[in-house]
Amino acid sequence: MRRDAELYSLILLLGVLAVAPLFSTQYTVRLLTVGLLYGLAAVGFNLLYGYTGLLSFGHAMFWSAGAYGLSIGLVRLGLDPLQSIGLAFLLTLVVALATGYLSLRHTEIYFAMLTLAFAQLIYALIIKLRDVTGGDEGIYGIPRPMGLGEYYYLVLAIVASLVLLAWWIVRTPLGLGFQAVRDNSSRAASVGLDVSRVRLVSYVISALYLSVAGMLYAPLNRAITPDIAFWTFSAIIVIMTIIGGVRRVAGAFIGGLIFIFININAMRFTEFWQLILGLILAILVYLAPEGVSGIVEKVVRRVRG
Amino acid sequence: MSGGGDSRREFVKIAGAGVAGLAVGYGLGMFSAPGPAEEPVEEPVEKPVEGLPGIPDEPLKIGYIYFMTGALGTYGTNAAAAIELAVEEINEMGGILGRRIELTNADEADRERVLDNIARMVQDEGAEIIIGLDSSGDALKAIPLIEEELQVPLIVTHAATPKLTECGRRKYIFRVSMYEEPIDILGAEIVKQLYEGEVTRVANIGPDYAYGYDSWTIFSGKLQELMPDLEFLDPIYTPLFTTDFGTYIDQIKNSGADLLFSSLWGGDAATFFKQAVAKGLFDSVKVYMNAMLGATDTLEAIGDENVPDGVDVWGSGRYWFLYPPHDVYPLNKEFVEKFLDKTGNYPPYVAATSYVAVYAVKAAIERAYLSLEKWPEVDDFVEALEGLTVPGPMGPVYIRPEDHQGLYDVYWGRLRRGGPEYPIPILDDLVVVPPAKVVPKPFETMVSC
Repeated sequence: MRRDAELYSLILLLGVLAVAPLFSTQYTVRLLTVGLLYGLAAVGFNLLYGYTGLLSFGHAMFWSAGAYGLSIGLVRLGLDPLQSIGLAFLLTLVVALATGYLSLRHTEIYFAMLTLAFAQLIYALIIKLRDVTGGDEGIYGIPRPMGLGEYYYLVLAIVASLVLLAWWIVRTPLGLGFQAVRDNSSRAASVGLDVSRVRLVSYVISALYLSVAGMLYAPLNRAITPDIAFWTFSAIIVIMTIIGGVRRVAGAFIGGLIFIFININAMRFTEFWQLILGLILAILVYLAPEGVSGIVEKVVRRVRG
Repeated sequence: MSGGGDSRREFVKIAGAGVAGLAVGYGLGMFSAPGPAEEPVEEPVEKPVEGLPGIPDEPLKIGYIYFMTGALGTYGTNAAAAIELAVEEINEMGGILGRRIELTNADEADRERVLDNIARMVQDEGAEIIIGLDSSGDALKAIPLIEEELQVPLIVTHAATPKLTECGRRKYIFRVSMYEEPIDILGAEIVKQLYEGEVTRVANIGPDYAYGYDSWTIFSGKLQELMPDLEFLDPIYTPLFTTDFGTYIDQIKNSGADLLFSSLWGGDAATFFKQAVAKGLFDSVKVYMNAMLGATDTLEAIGDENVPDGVDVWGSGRYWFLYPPHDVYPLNKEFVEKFLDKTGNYPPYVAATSYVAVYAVKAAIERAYLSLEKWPEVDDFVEALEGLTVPGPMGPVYIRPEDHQGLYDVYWGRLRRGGPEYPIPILDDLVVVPPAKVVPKPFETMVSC
């Protein structure tokens, strides 16, 4: 029953997002586009964190693999869009399999630190391989064959499908396997689950989600710089997921959507925007460990009696 | 203080002769300060500020974006102070053609939100002009957003990569701050004029990113052209915010370099210099040229007591608060005094360039109004900026129409103690050349696009 409620609320939310541009300025549409991509990233991240119990502090590397893979294909190599998308996926898979193989030997904080280290390695590579990545100056002139208004709907369509797919994945035997490994890995192993394989699959699927978000992010601004590979962006991915709530796909999605609005408005009204962000996070962790979606759920339950 | 005074004076005299030779070589006086005839005409036609036809009622909104917080936060606070100063002055005179200026701003330190914040200022808050950007990466990244989506003028006041203006014609993007290339070129010319025969091996220490690489490409490229017999050592690049330069200093010492070029800036430039002095680097390095030393905040961080005697240290930058000399160019004097009054600091270059950006807006709007007799549309405004000359604290700034690059006098000066007159070390024996002598033609750059 409650599972259905999550699906319905997701569909409702996506429906609202579909009509939102009709009532929005171009600026809000831009923020919504970023919000959708952040939401997608949070959903992907949460498959690994919320559902498989592995906290990665390096997910910026997959967002960057997607964004840089696509941009290098389009701008540096002059490939067509399909080939560039293929290149981006290939790059993501290589990064995900290599770092996954090496870091999934550990869990908990050791896993988090390893992912952080690998992500910083990727960041350093992006800075150093200037001829390919543009170094600190990044890549600009990435084509976007449509206006922002239309692009929003392209992003929405892809994000909606992938968020619903995630909702479905966590209900399949595979997704239940994620959760079994999260809750008790030795018990999961004892019933015949290949724990390290389940973790790797979750890690790679999660990476692909981030990669798609990154691929869609690059044409939004038609330029990218290495800040999307820096550890602070990995932290943002963690923070927005926690803000939204880690127990549900919808929670993470909402977290990404609202993060961008909190971020830019905190900044607009005070130079201490980082403090505001930190305060919001601290309050949420203390008072609502299940995030915004947990609060909504509680309110709904209370209203229903 | 007086210990090394005499030898220093001796030095200056010798160098002075060299500088004079250099100046003669360029066919101009040592100070090419604009004479009184070129003094800025500060009050154009718009005396009767009210009742001009075709002027919108609501204020003109200008948005600025700089690093306002974090390790580079002083760039933003200095730039903001200068922008506020310019806006206060203009609003006191009744605004631009009677239209008051209002400001909004954003923090470039939120790296992921730079473009969203520019869009916010323009699309949500109605900013008609954007001023700012410290990071070259951010400036390049903003090109598609500004040129195609927002289509509002962006006046860059700090980011110095030649790629912004010299790698393609931009419609809405301008830069009023001097870029890297002419400064590095003049640095090479000075070495040729003053130290030919005295130096043989050239080393480089610069920040480990595009700006550092490009600076060395330009300086070494030009110097090689001028003095082909020099030996150029492998450049050293250091991460931003390095705290211990010890191994790099040893490396330079052991390399036998006698000329050291550097594009280190801000805190890095100060830290390196102090450690180099402490470790006796200047026993072997005879000439040190730092393209970014002419920044008052960097000099303050170095401190008078750390300026050694008997070393040829040259610094440059995009503005030096004592040039044009205050006695012949009152605009600079007033600016320095007002800024000092407002902030307690001598203005660093970001202050002068952001200040002149606001006046460029004013001058362009007035210029367009004269021909259109109405408030200019964006395209009219852009056209009016092209070829405009704006009096600024650094002297008149000419905005070259082809590449939208602001041009003004380029300088290098010799480092000396400021005391007792100034609380910070200063640059003296200035070598100044007009832009025509060192700025490449539009779209010509030694940096690969």
